[in-house]
Amino acid sequence: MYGFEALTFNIHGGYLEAIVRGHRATLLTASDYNNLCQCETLDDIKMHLSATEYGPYLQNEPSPLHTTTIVEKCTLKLVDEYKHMLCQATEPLSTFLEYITYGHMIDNVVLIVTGTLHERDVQELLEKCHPLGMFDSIASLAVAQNMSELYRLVLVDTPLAPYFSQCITSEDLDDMNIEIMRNTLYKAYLEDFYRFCQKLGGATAEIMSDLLSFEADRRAVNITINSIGTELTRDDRRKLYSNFGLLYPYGHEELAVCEDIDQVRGAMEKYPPYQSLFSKLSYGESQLLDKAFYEEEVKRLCLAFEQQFHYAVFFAYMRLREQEIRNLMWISECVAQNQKSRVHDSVIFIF
Amino acid sequence: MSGSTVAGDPSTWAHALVKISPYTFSAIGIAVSIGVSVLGAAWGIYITGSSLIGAAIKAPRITSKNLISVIFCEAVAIYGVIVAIILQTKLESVPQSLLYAPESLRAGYAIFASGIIVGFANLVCGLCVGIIGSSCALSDAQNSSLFLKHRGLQEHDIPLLWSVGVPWTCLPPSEISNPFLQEDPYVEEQRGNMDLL
Repeated sequence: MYGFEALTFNIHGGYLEAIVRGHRATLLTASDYNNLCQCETLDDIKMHLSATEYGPYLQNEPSPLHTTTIVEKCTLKLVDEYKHMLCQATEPLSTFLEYITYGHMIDNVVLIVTGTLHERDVQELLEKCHPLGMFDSIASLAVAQNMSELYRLVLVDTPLAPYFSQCITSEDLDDMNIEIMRNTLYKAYLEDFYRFCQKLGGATAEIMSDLLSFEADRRAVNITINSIGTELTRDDRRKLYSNFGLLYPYGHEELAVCEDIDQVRGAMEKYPPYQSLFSKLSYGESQLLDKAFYEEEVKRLCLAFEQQFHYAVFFAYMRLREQEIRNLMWISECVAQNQKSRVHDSVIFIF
Repeated sequence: MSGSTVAGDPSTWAHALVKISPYTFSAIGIAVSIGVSVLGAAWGIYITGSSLIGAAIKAPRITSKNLISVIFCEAVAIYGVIVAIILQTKLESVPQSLLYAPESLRAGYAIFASGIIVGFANLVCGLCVGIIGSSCALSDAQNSSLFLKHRGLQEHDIPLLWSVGVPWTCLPPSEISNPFLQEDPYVEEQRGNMDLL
């Protein structure tokens, strides 16, 4: 019953909620980012990060650091925290936490399949996979030749199996089909997650439906923009949009027929939350759209922490941590390539 | 003066209710007063304790200050115990003839009502104090200036007033007209003798 979750939430979720709020308190703040942006070398970055929670993970790295090492160690910290929480969780929180990682699983699957298509070594690809999305039989993805084999050999045992019903075809895997497969899987995953949150009810359902709707709408816009000028037909494009969100169904109708960015902008400006986003971009510019979407997402994720006794804080924390890792990667790359003037282009302050 | 004249027709529910011994009602009232109060306090401590333990991992400084939330919850259980003790001192044995007298019934119902009031009021109070304590612990872990220092009035004095003071007013007056008071058989006989004179 909405409103009375406070009576029983703490029985199973109180301890973990307090832990995730403790983790949230250790996210890097604007002053940390300012210090990091003024670093001259990667060793300075390592020194600043050792004063934060990342200290134990970075202190044993040998001196010529690479940006990939920094990112890898920070991701490792996130994975450790996630696994700790997953071990402690009971149903339905454990299912909820697992749902958060399915997106990474989809990305890993697509990464390995694409890499195999381009004749890359499987071991090298496995190292590039995101650790949160690993599952046992992932290495055998390299063997499959088309989608139905992919499903039958590997994916039927994974949690992604139910998402494949919409995209099993006998076509061979090529770049276009792989992108369509990725988006179809992600669409099925988002809808499944949305249904699961609705079933949980209460504050979790309310906050997660807002966050997931934003994610669905953002993906719809990105799919539209990326498929302008490709051979993706309008019907195919419409099939990749999710069945929920602010844009469903009328916004999707308009987006499906868009042929350039200005038409996309025209379609989106009818929705007040996105109108403010698009008004920050001048006409014809799409590079800043990604940053605008990330900023809006961070704002909504921070708001999820305002309420107590729900599961959306876990989702919000994982996403905020991922955003922080993206920030660190951008800062490290700018510092490593001596382009410090561009540092503030893509760093999004969380607090 | 017996209960049956009060209720009338012997086969109605009212008659059946009136025939339940007032001792039953009083005993249930006392049991509810202590039992449900302790349930409320324990539930409240559970809610606040789980958040406090989790938050204290990253911020160990909050444990000593936030113990006050647990103490307030515990106080709620104590109120239930106090009222239960007071109520049970009001219970006295009466001779069988006076058991269903209207005054006895009133006393029984009064103790029952007091017990129910105290029990359920403390249940809700313990829950609320627990939920507030949980939120307070989490916000204190984040930012120590958010700790509420002035909860004493809300969480201690008001529950004390309502859950102990209000039932006090419902209790039967302990005067001579209270049929629960022990009747001395010698006094009874004297009174009977005086009637004859």
